[in-house]
Amino acid sequence: MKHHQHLDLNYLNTMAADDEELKKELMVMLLDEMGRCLPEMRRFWNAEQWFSLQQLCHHTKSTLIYCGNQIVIQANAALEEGLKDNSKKKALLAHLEKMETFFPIIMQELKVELEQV
Amino acid sequence: MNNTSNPISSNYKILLIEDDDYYARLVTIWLNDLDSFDCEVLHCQTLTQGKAAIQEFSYFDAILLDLSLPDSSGIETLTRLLAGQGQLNVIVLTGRLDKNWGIQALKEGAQDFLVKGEFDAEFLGRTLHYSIERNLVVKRLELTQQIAHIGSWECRPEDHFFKASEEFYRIFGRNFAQKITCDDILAIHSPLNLIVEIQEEARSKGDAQKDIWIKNAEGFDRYVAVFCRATYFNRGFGFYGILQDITERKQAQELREANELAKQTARLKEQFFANVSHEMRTPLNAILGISHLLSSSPLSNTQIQYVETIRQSSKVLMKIIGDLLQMSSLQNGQVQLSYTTFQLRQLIEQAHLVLLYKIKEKQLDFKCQIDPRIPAYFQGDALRLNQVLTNLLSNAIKFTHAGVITLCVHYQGETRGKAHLLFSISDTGIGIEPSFQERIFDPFVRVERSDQIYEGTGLGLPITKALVEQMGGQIRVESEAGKGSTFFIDLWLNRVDHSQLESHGTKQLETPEENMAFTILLVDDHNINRLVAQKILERKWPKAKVIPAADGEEAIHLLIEHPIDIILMDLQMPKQDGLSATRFIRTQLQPDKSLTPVLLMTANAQVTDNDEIMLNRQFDDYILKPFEPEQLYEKIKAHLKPMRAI
Repeated sequence: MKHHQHLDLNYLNTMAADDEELKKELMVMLLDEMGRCLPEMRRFWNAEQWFSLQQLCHHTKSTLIYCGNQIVIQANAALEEGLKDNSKKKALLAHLEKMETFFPIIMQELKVELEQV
Repeated sequence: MNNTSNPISSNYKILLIEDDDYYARLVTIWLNDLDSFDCEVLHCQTLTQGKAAIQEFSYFDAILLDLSLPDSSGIETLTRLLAGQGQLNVIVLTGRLDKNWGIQALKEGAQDFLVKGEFDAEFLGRTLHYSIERNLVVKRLELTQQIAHIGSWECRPEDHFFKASEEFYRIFGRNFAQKITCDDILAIHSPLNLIVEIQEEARSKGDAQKDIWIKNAEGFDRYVAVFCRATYFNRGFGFYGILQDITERKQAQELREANELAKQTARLKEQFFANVSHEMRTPLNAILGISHLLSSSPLSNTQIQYVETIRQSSKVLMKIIGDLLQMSSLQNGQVQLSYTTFQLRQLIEQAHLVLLYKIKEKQLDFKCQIDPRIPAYFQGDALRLNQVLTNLLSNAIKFTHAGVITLCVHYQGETRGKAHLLFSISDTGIGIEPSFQERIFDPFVRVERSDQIYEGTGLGLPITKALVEQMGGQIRVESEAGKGSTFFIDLWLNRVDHSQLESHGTKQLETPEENMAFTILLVDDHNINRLVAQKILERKWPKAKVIPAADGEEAIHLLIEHPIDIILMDLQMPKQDGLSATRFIRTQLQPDKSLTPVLLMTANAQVTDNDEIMLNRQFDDYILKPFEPEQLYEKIKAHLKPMRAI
């Protein structure tokens, strides 16, 4: 397994154990989920659909566990919590932007990893 | 002293203090001749004799007092008579030239005055009658005041006049015989100064009121409600007031408030405990999880040791937090028992196996004796019973440095399908001092020895006791310092016989774990979670069947169509969420479906045993995501009914 700067597949590997097929399948699903949820988040943000955004964050929480990146995990959690508390939107935008910054890098590392499996 | 009337028919007792024998005889004859006034007259010639008579007979309905006596003269005669006495009904007798004395006598406390030579028998009788009746009214008023703890006073500063009721004196701890004067209430450091203060307030407002603590002359603290009204006279203000001693009421109120505060504090403390413990558990879970992940990455030997230390310390901390949370739940009555069928011998064996390495590590012997009359199967909360036995055995091991740990289960009889069992866990350890035995089940009480430190929160035994009591049992200890301890648990357990077991097709207690065949309904809208859970379940139990569902609605349909042994339910899902689906299962389906164990799987780290979501008893248990496979396996095993063997 290649060491990546932002991707941490330890939890995914723990759950997959020695099942290489499952590992690959999970990585593909993870890539797909990450690719879909971020644009959706931005769309909800722009449309000010806060409840839908909060629900998506909750869903994404489970996804991000498998990518293992604490920065996006925490940003997503902070966004979800902030939406519950109706915090100032400006502060919340920073979390979304943080995810928008890191998602492509993590996904790139994931693609590299996937090619090697 | 001369008794000058027929005492048999007398109603009133009259004391006549008169030095003129002739006049005394005249008054006595008048009184005896009065048809409407039946009395007995005692005659004294001096003030000294009169006071002695009052002392001796203690009560007279009226006293006729001549102010000019051989041993006293003028108004002083009255004041000397009244001094040191309670409420006396005195009618002063004066000469024609001394009428002013009579008027002055009224101010000093006489009921009335008569001028010699200006009254006859009838007038005397009427005056005595009126004074006696007036005095009775005053006495009734005094009694009423005493019952209600209300004292009254009247004050006219311009006249230097102050008069108060007996109860007023009692409240201030003063002797009624030692009259309070205006000078007394003006004394700055006297509690009586309160009267001046409130009078001053009433002077400006008309009425004044205050509740205040005073320290009376006997040194007692009294809480009084004081009311005062000012009235203007020709020569200035006069004041009337009452004060009520409400000390008992105030103390009762303070006690109630203190009690309420104590209850509220206890509630807040419990809540605080639960919150803090939970908030600690969440990051600790992360530490445990990350250290687990870290241990599976390439590490040097030193790093492996460091990680292992982190993991062990975190586990200890997690145990402490778990104890705190459980204690909090038990104290709040939020722990519910979960009844399952179990094999007692197997349960004891499991407890022994868990502790075996500790027993070996300390080179102790372990003996187990189970009365052969004890049935094999019981119905009860096996997990809690296991916890109780494990706690007591762990303690026994912890406090024993050499010797033997003995677990015995005695059969005490059986009634109506319930077996009466007595568990005893004995050790040859350090023992418990008699004074300490009384407190050993109190929270946070820990063994303190100068020669050795024993780890622990001091919650193990309180939790054990609370669990035993919740199961309807009792726990006690017998111990001798230096020789060892024995803990006894007296418990009634529902027995289950073989015919009942076979009718339910439950032979599976002997089924090897990997052969367990059961059906799991896995409900999660997250496709990765669903796939992962399905795979790790199938890996553990190859013969188990996992049926996936993406939301609550689909889960209900699948539950109706398939025999399901356990449900793993996510909370937040589209269409129908986990809580609503579980509520539907519990309330709308037949018992064969509605009683299916439901384990909540949630990424909501806020869920705890105390949460509303768990307390409403829809879910049997919960597991926080992300979880490790072993955590999930343990939860499922704990809630599966006995399995069908393949």
